[in-house]
This record gives sequence, C-alpha cells and structure tokens, in this order.
Amino acid sequence: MKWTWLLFALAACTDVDERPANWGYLHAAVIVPSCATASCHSDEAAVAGVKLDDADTAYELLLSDRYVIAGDAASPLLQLLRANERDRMPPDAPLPLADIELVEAWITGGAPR
Amino acid sequence: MKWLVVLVIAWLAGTAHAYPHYQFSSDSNRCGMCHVAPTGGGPLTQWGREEFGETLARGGNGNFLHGAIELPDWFAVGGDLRFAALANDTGSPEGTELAAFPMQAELSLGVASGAWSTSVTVGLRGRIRSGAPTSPMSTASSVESATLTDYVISREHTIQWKSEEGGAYVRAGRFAAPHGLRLADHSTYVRRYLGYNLFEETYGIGGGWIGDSLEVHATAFVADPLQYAGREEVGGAAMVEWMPTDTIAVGASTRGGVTSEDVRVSAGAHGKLWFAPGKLLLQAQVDGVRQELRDVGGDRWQLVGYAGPVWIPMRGVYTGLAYQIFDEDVAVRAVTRQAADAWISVLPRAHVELVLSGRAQRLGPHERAYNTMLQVHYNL
Repeated sequence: MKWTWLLFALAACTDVDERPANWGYLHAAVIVPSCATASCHSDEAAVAGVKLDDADTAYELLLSDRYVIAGDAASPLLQLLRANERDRMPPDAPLPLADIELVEAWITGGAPR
Repeated sequence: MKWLVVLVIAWLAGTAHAYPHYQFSSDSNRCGMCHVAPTGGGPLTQWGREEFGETLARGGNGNFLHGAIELPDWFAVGGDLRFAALANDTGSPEGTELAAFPMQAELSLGVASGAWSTSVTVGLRGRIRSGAPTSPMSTASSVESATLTDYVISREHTIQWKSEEGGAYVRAGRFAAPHGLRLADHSTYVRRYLGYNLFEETYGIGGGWIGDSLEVHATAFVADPLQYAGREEVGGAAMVEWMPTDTIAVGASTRGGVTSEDVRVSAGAHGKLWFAPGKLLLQAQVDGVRQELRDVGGDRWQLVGYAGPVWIPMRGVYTGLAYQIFDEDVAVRAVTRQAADAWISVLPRAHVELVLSGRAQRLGPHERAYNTMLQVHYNL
C-alpha cells in the first residue's frame, strides 16, 4: 500500500525545488551518492586527499581546505561542480543544475553545519 | 593528467554480475552452471569454459590457457585483464578528454570439494592518495602516500555449500546480494544508484534455492569491515526469478539498508524476453526507492529504470541499446537523469572480447554528458 504513494509522488512531480539546503541533507542526498563512491572520495580511495563519506569529516575538510568559503558563491567547490574555468566534478557526468544550485544556496546561506 | 586518472577510477569495471544475453543464447539458463558462484561472477566451471569456446565466442578453446594446461576438477582459476580508451565530454572548458588506461586486472580462484566450495577474486583498484588537491587553497594536509596494498582489493571471497543435486545453497563472505537484472556494467543506473556500484559488494550470509524454473535468494549484509564497501550500511536483500518457459524470465527484488544518516528501501521488478529465431533479448528493470533521512528533512522517493534490447546477429557478436532513468527525487523534475546507451561486443576467439560502447546522458534539463569507450578484454 505504501508503494502506491510512489505513483502519487510521480504525478506530483514539480519544477519547484523545496528540498532543504542544509548540510545533513546535502551530504546524504547529493554528496554520498555522487562523490563519496568507493573508488572516488571514499575514506579508502580518498582521491586528491578528499574524503567525503563521513558527514562530519567531510564538512570539516570542505571548510578547512577552503573548497567551501561560507557566503562566497565563488567557492572552489562550486567552480568544480559548474566547470567554470576548470575541469568538471564529478568527472564522468555533471550533477543536475538543481543540485548545484542547492549546494550554492547552502554556501551563500553561510554553509551552516 | 590528474583528471585522466580520475576518469580511470570512475570507469573501472566490475564483473561481479552476469550477462543476461549469455543466459539465453547459450545452453545455460542459470548463472551457477557457468560460474562456481551460484549467482554468477568469479571463476568459471568446466561447463562454462566449454560454453565460452563452443557457443559464446566465434571459436577457440575456452579452457584455462586455451587448453594448454588441464586443471583438476576440484580447482578453478581465471582472471580478467582489460584495457580501455575513453572519450569523455562533460562540457568542461578544456573540451573532450581522451584517455587510454588499464581498466581491470583480477585473478579468480576456486576450490571445490563435494558440496563445499570457496572462491576468491583479487584485483587492483585505482586508488590515489597522492594526487594534487583540487582546491587551489587547500593545504593538502590530508593527502597521504600510498602503499602497494592500498591498490589491492578482493571484491569477492566466499565459502559456500551447494547441494550436489541442485537446489539449495548457502554462502558467506563478500559478495553482491542478488538483485534485478544483475548487469555486468556497474555504471548502469540500476546498479550505481541501488547499492551495486563498483566495489560495493557487502559482507553477508546468503542462501537460496535454484530450480529449473524458479530461483529465490535472500541475503543479510553488513558493511565491509576490512575493505571499503560503499556505505556503512546494515541490511538485507531478496530476489525471486521465475522462468515459466525457456524464453521468459520475470522477477522481483527488494533491498533495505540502514546507515547513520538514512534508511533506504527499494523494491522493483525485472523481466527478460528472448526471441530465439531472431536471437533478440528484451530486458527491463524498474525500482522504486524510499529514502528517509534522519533529522534533516527532505525524505524522498526515487525511481530507477533500465530497458533495452540485445541482439546477436551472429555467433560471438552481441549488440545492444538501452534507455536508463534515475529520478533522484520524484518530486523535483529538474533532477531527473536519463541516458541512452549503445554498445557492441565481439568475441573473435574464446578468452578475447572487444567492446565499443557509448552513452549520452541528460542530467536535469540543462546538463549533458557524452562518453565513448573501447575496451580490449582478455579472460584468462
């Protein structure tokens, strides 16, 4: 019965993005499936020294290594996601623009924990 | 150069799963006929090796080292070497990236005694700890040096009991819980976004029953405590597949997992329809996912789908098309990902495979990505 709600959800598909721009959501819903894969930015693979699979560790790293500069829409993380004057992340396929804009909303909102 | 290496990592192959078109085009309707493992992957059985040369490839001897050495019945050894060339266009300012690289190097061993067997697959993984940081302001303090062991991973290692009369089996170890179509390509959406991406095999205990027309599998798993397994997840999976005739298979799968951040449950169905006269396979899988995020809001439904034909125009030549969809949040239209795949695989002789594949992706309404890959694959 619960799965019938999926059909209703499909029917309710909308252009309005009401997803929360908080780190907890972004990490679980965007960063983990797209960036913290086993062969990329997992704790073990740690490509370029970047480990993103743990929410706390990832948050500290992104700010301490200044991939994210709170309030700054020119943060390197956004440049990577948008491929602005540098190569794209993720390298195999870009994130949907709506996901990038959600990351931007979090950063420009002060990148709260 | 850094980016090329990253691409290599992103495209590393996984062979833990099987090829549904082999299931119908050979005389083997069950994975466990050709593989030591009851659900496919890993070393081949003697039956599988003979099918390789006599049915699947255009010719040759499918036995170990082309039959130069005869192995005892209780011992199976195999392996995969794969090289690839890739053209990747994601809209980066530097344009289409080109790369050629070793893609897979794995060795598989199997030992059997009566109903008991064990199998191990060990290979190299593309791990980079010494790459330059991607932030110009990074201190790079977290970049560590790598050792040889950092590049070695055992994707699968199991011990199993399989009834010698067929039917029941039980196994324990590191393996991918059976689910859906079990496609070989880990980058297909139904693998990548359902917990079956590269190196995401889990530790578990599984069992099931494999009959002539019905197979049932159930697995309980935990995250890999020794090697990274994708998600720090505890859960279970189950799958059933029914073959009412030799040309039709329908199935259902479910998988659930709990992490410190979320609870995720998926359920779906798959089907395979084989037109023997035209050597055409139609296959499809669709799964719905419910992800509940702890304390942060944004619980969501997801939809993942795969559908497409595989045609075998002549012995040893396989070609296919596929449409894929991944709706990462069905309530938000702008995050739907779609892909169109085309590929051709040629086995000119047993042990040798050439694959040319292409994928065009539409990621939301604005983003695009185009990938073309040529693979040269040698199976030991």
